Amino acid sequence: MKKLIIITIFQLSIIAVFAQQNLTLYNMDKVLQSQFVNPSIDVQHKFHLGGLLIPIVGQLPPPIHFNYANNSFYYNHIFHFGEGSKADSLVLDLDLFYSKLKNTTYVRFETDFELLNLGIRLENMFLTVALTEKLRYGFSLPRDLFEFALNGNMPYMLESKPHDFKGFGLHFTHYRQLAVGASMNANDKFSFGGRAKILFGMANFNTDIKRLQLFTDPENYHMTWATDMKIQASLPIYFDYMLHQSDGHLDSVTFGINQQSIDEFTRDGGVSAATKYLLNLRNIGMGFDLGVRYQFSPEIEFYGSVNDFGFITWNTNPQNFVSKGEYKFKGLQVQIPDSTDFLGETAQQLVDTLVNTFGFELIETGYVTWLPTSIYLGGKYKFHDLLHFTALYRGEFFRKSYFQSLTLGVNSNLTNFLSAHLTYTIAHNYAGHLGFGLSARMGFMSWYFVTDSFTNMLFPQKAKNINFRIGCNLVFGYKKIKSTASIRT
Amino acid sequence: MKKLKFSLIIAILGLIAISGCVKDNFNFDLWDREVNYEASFALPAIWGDIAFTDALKKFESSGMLIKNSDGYVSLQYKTRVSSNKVNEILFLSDQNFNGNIFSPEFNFSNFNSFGDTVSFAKTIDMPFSMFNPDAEIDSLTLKTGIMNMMVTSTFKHSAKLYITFPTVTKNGVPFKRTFTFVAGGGSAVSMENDLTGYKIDMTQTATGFNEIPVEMRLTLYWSGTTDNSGSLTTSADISNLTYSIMYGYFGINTLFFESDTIDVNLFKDENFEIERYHFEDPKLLVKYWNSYGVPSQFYFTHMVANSALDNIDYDIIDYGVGLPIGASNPYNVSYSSNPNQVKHDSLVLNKSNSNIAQILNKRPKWIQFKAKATTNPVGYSHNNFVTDKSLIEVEVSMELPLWGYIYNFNMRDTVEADLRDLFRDNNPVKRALLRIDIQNGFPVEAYSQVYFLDQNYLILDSLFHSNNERLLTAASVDNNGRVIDFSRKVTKIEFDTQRLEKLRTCKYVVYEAHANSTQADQNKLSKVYDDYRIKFDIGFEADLGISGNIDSLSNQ
Repeated sequence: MKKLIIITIFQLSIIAVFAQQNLTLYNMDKVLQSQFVNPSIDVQHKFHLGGLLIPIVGQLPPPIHFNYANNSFYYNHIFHFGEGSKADSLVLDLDLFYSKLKNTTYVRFETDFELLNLGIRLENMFLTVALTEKLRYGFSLPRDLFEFALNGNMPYMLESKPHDFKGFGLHFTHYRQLAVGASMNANDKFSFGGRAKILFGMANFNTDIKRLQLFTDPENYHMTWATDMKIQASLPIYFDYMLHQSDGHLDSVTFGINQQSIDEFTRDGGVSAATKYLLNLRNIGMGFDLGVRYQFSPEIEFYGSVNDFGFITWNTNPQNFVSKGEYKFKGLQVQIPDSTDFLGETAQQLVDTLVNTFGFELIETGYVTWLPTSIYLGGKYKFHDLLHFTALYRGEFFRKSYFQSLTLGVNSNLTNFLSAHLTYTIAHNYAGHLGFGLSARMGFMSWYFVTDSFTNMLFPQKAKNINFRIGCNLVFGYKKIKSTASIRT
Repeated sequence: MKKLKFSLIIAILGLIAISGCVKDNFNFDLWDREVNYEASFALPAIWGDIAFTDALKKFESSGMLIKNSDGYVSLQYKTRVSSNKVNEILFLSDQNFNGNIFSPEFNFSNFNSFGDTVSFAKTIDMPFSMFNPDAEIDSLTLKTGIMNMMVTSTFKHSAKLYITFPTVTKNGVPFKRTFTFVAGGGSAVSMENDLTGYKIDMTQTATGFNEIPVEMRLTLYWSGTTDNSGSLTTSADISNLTYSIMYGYFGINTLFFESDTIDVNLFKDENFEIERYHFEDPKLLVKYWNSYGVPSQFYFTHMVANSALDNIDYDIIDYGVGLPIGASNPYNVSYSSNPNQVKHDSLVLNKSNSNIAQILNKRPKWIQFKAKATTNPVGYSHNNFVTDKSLIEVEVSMELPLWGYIYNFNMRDTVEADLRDLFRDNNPVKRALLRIDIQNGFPVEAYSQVYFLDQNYLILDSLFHSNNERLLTAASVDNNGRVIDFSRKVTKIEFDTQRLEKLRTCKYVVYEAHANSTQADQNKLSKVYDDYRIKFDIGFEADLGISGNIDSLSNQ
């Protein structure tokens, strides 16, 4: 009964969900990488070693994590097989696509390459060191953008409602993370873990749109545009940007990649440029993970963690393009013309006004980006030595939004060398992601494969999320953890 | 084991089936390529807030619209004519001079050995022929002039001739030349003498005008002969003479003005008609500018207005206020007393002192006139002067202050129309609406209608559902005719596919427009001030719909 209540409470707390990640990995205690998301986890080997830099184990297979997530739609919402006479044809269904859109559609990608990871058990403590190359990239699109494109601006105009495009965004971050972690049992009940991270930013492109709005006045169709936005970039090269104006008139706009910066960057050849890029230490950040585990009873434990609370300061060629303004477009202005080129002058005036109102201002100062922080809360019920049931709640703070998911899992350390994990996750307003994790050890080599959505990998046309993590670690000193749990009847 | 094998086979077959199904989802060869798109847009097109002052600035230089002396606006039609160029009337012709010295005029006593010299001097008056036999010129300053001189001596002695024009001076220095002859005589010339800038004083001879003295002094040098006979002949010609200023009495000269016409486009344009109108204060203005320093009389040989109603010429008549029509009724033009001055004068005909109001009722499409001026009409005076730029200019303008009313200004035209583009199969516009919002600060209302006709001129449809749609509502005016508030009218014109279908056979479009000033039906007078404004805002709605195969849509 107690178990049922607990599971039900977690289910009821489901609301908007997003970016499932590492949900199956969280409880894979035979895989060192689980400590990346669960700092307090008790990893069962005395020594782990892995990463791309390690010969053989680092290449067969290379330790990669990939995640794609979309909170709104999947492919079949756009193209799907028709009905009746069109049963064998693909049809374009814009109405269905539009009906699935959320206020903001986030499309995110994560790609991690583990360069090196090391874990070692010292008496009561497990220490880890990990060096990982991380790419975070994606874009977001506001629903109102599709509303405007697919339905026009009249429906909103008739409701005196503005089109809100502030959900539009682009982001790309490449950084390297050096994390040092430790977990320990404080006493019989509590275990703690944490990781301190130094972050080395390589490249960043980021939009920060506080306001981007279009309002069409139902009275006279006047369109009011308002912006308050910032586009930030910190790249090995930088952009030239200049508005050339005279007497308030726009003469020309210069925008392009600064050739001198390219020449400077590639001066000593491609290899040198790559080295310069990869060894850039100017964009430093820091972060940490914290985790705690509480043994409620021999069968039941609760745990929680905070991951990726951190930031990076960008100082390599930092460029902030800032635009803030509001303009009401009433159409082309008709005046008593002073010259024969009336249309040209009117158009020029409009361009001048738009540039003066919305023209980007370039501020070349460093800036800070924050990592998307996740919180995990969960519990485990040890039904048997070989069978554990888990429930895991994940919340993520991403670009001023909060996303959630709930995962129910069955975990089994089948043998000393094989463990399997099955999860069921509710995320992206869709219940039915089946996850699967497998770790298999042969001697001192332990392979792992985990995905939170293997059904999506089989049916990508219905996938809002596809992720997987694979790799291989060298492991030594397996410690069998005896459980006091017994089979419940 | 068998079960495991069987399960594996089933699993593999299942995977193959699944992958086939998955691939088909991404096989765009299976896409039926049908698109169905519907959207509605509303956009602003144009807007304006135009003050009459903007129009005034634009048209002021052409003089069509002006702010009059009473502070409101007038329509103005004018033309400006000038007299002939001054040097066509008061000109300088080429002049020539001859002078001789003969041996008997000398006293040869004690003239018999080397070193002996004998001289003789005389002054000869050189007359100038003038543009008018009555002209008496006191002085003039030359703008251009060339003098050529030739002297021939037949004296056996060597000689030297000094020839001086004492009243032809530049910077106070008289014009002079010296000619030298060897014994036995000969000829000498002095050519291309530039007289630019020389002042010629013609008052220093006994006549007192039109003449200049020429001083000749001949010196003979004894050259070893006792033969003292001989003569010296001098001839000079002055050509290419123009003056920059001339003083004197110029006589009676006639200045002609070319015939000119003022087009009154308001009544001349055949594209529109006006049923009834009234201008409260029409004016005919005649303005003069005179830079001649000569008393002159000016008159029109005729001034008529041609009626657009009956094509008859009507004389413009004043009621004794001095419109100079005819030689018997000339106007004495004010003249300046110094060369830098231009005298200005004017005459205004209005409804009180002329028949201009009656002329206006005849819808004058043009006013034509011809004029003359005569210098020194009343007598003789040496106070005349003229420069090379002197002119008499006359400007005649018809001014129609916009104070009054216009009733049923109407225009109508028929144009051929080709609306085939609207009936293309893939025309995406399913409905269009044009919204015209006008806030009118002028005391004018306007109506319009557009008819769509087929090849037999039968009406297929009209743009507006009412007989004549009022597009512009007249602003209210107070008792002084001044606008007191804007009036607003929003007009919507909508077409959908059903309505458009009616126009499939349209070949002609007839548009007509009517306009009235505020309460013109009650003859209410309105004034148009330059601070009046009109604001307009035009936008449109469009429902778009595209349905069909994307390949065929893009090929069309």
